[in-house]
Amino acid sequence: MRRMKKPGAYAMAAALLLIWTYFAVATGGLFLSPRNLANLTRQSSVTAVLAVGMTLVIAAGHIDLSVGSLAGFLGAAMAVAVARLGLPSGLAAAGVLALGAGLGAFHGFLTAYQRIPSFIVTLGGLMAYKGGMLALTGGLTIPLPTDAWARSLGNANVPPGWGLPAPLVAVAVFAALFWGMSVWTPFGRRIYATGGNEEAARLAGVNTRRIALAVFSLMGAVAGAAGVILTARVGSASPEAGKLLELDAIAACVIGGASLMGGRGGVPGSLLGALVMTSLDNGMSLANWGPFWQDIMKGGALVAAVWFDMRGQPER
Amino acid sequence: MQPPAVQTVCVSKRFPGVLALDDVSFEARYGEIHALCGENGAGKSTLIGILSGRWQIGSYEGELRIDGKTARFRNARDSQNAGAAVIHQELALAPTMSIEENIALGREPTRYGLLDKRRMRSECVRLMETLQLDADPAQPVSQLGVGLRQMTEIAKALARDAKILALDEPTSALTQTEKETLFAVLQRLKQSGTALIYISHRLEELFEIADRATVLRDGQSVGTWRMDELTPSFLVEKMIGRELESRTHTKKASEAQPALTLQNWSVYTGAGQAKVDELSLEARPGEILGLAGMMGCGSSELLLSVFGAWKGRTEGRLEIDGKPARIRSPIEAMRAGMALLTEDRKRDGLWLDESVEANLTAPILDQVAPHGLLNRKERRRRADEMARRLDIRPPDIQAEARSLSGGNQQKTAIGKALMTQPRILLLNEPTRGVDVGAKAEIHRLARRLAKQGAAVLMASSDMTEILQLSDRILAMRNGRAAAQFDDMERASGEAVLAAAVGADAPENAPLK
Repeated sequence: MRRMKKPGAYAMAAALLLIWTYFAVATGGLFLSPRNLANLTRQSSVTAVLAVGMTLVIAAGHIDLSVGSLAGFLGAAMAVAVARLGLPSGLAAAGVLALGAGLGAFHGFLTAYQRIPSFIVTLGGLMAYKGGMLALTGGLTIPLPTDAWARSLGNANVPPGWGLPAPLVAVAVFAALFWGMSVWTPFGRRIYATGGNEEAARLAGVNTRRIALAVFSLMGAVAGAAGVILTARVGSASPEAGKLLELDAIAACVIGGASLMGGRGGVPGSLLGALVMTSLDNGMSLANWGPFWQDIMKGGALVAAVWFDMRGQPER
Repeated sequence: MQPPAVQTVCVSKRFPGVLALDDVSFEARYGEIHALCGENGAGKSTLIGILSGRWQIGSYEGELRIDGKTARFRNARDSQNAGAAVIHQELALAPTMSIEENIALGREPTRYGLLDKRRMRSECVRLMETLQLDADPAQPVSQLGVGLRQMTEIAKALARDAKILALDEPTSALTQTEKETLFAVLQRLKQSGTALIYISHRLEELFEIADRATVLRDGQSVGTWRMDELTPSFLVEKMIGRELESRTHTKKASEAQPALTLQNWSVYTGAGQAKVDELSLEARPGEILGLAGMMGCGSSELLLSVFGAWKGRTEGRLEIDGKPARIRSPIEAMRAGMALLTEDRKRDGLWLDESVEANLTAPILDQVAPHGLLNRKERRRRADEMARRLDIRPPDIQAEARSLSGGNQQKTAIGKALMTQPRILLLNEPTRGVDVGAKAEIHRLARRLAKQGAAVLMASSDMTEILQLSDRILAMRNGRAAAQFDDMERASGEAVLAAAVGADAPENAPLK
């Protein structure tokens, strides 16, 4: 099955190269400095992780609007668990992933077995988790204890001392797992089959409801991971964390070639999409563009990417 | 003499790699029903596309004339303004809007810039009276049956003062009664001077309604004849360029133990309406049981329910190899050795954007993933093997299903069903919308599968197909078994059709 349209993939790599070249020149090389590149990967990690999970949701023909606020909520839950309850960071992180998977499974259950459109279920989730986060934090920023392992995680390198930023490693692990799953396993191909033509999939012996349930559970776990990274990176959970991240994640997938009609898109494309979005953010702030430009340019990039993709397709 | 309503003069249209129309000259006059015949890919749709403005002026060679004057259509609107309307198989109506709104769509009457609902209603009522339609103009189109939807489409064309009407397979989804209503309407339109171009695979319809026929073959016009100087076999011969073998086999019904037995089987919609009503049948290995019936007779619902894919309630007893079985999902049906070919390959049979390989192997992903990981080589080998066995063309299994011809798409859908090596094969309209050549291939394949021991249950509204292929026939009407024919020597087209449409079956039907 097709992952990404070839011309689209080249065009996107070219676009990314263009963006990088432009900011490299505009910032006098600052953009491409090792320090900024490390920064860039840290910044993109949360969007990228969410986009990886979102790829499967969109490929299955669904959408998850809750992931930004869910990630914020779970990040806050982790901070509360470590700072107030004194749980070890590792345990808290694992718990948050499991909780995310559980909530995701609930989304999947409502969508697949109770036939509520995923847009509605997760829009409801978006609002509810925002409320949940406010309840957890009481509207205050909750700092992780200075000695918490998670606190160092956000800025640690793997292996320690040199090498890669830990959030980047987390992205790589999730991306590799999800990409492999989507391409090399029957489960992965069934996600695309379900999104491409649900009825045909059902008649070909695919349990399409279980596919939706699984995809939303995975998405929930990924939101948990994003929450952990979000909290660890800053060293605290703020009541505003994760806000609107779901839109960045969806935009990354779409820029990367996913179709909201389902059945199309791939993990590598979504990663590239996330990198495009963060590069625009990072580059423009380095080049001292007004912050409003970041949103305008990101929105423009999203629409332009889809326009480019549609141009290459015959009318149907 | 009045010039023809539509005339093409030496029209050629080239697509990348194909000459779809080759120097075609054709004409249709006012007050006639002109049939356009030919296999799939013969060029009928392309010719209609030039009339409808889909292929704009300059994209083809030659000349299109309306009322004897050169027409230069740049788009569908130009064609509509010139009085032409094409009614496609897939109807183009807005489902949530009412009949009157659909008819007025794009040219709504207004007063002071606001919708003039009264005029919209009166216009709709006037057209419905012309067509002798009985429906509520305020009813949403989605609540209408296919027949009424099609009438709405015709009314919409008339509201735009269409004087040239082209119909592409208009009866493919109609019941017998709806078809009769349609034909009556077409006759009236003809008498009022409309030029009608009629495309259908169903030859008997052409003889029923058309005045003249033009045959296309491989993009060329073979000729135009008056229907009363034609015979069906002559027409088929012109379409395919060779003679068609008639009845392909005569075989005694099998005596083996039934692979599939249904007793008092009923299928209900969510609203509680019985689509299949207390039906009993037996399908034996080595034979083809033909389910003959018109659209809406319940055979589609029957096959879906047996396959565990019906979403409503079912009742009755189902046995596999003589043992009672409960099939609650397609997965369980496949485990029990069944496979289903659905009636509409584009809707629920294929992934059009995916490769032939992906389509063929969709049901057997677990088989080609020994340790949970896909073995791509094995997957490709299995797909390749099936593509070669069914002679799917082009022989490139990486080709997108969308790019294949109708016949090859259908073969892909069949190949997908055969992948699991089913013992019980449920075929629903196995040759709908495929050309004569592919049809013969599919028929040979069905015979071969039965010979190799599969129990084949085939639903079809094509009586010729039913007669040619079946070892036994069950005629269905309104969800019930109308008649059963165990001895094919005694089954005639008239008798089976009569049972299926509810006419009185002639006693001792003449042998064919």
